[in-house]
Amino acid sequence: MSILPHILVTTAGARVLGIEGNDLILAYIFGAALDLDHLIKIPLYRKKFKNKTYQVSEGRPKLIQKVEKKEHAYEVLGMGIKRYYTWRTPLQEPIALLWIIPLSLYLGSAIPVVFFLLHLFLDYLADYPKAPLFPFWGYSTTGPLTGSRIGLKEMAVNLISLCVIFLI
Amino acid sequence: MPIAAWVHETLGITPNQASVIAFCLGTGAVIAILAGQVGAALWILLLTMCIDGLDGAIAREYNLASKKGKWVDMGLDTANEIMLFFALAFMGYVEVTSAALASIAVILIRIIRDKSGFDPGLKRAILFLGYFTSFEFALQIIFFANIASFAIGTVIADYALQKKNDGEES
Repeated sequence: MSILPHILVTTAGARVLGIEGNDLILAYIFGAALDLDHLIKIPLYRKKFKNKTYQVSEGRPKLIQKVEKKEHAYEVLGMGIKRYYTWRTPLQEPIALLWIIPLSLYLGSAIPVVFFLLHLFLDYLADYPKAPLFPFWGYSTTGPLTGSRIGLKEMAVNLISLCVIFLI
Repeated sequence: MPIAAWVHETLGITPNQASVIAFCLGTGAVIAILAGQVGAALWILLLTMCIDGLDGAIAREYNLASKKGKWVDMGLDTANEIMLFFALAFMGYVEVTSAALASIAVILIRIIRDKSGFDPGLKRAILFLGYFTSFEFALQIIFFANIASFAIGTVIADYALQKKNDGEES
């Protein structure tokens, strides 16, 4: 999901749990700021989508044809593939629990794990390709809720979060 | 490397044998810690690390590198590090939790290293720093450095695969 639902859900979660101070910073790091990892993929993204068309296959884009005109490439791609594919890194996949759980144990706080799981839950509501256990297993999935539109899901999450924020 | 050549050609030691000798010496360091001789343990550890560096050198120089050898070296090094951390915990120099977390971190960095090619090497060598500061502090450095490197390693592996796929497709 985009950054806004993550921020709203983190804020709502922090309100519900009564989190303050340094714990609140931790909550925002693992609930929302993990999305900054997308910046790492910018160079690949720019290179990849210039004058080419792709389709998603097994969680990774496959080149289907080269095209001469840039506009054509964007037309064929559609926003879905363009927006989501290359952005994700294992920092926001379940495999990250391997380092987030020990970190939580070290800090003596469940906040990193709890807010990371919230982050994961929202991402897995969206139906773009995800590789939960990469680099140890190449399995990819689009998640359980592929039927409804991402915009609708985001709107519902935002609405529920705002209700929680204003009610508590 | 002249030392590696001498060890292999004169003494006839293979890379796997060097790994096992280093592990045995490392176990000696563990025993020294358990005997309360931390200073002696660190001298033994220094020797261990020197010999441990030879296995790779011999393997590369004499084209003896193998997947099995790499796993033997990695497994024995990790086992030795975990034994050292828990020996320190047993003697009260560090908390058991710190030893456990540092152990998890070194296991994680070892399993990702092949896929990412990234390992800062901050493991048992940091124990020397602990001798002059505190072992608790040293284990915290080991934990943070390796847990962060594991997280970075997963991103490196992902980026490398994506770059490779993009290259193959274009």
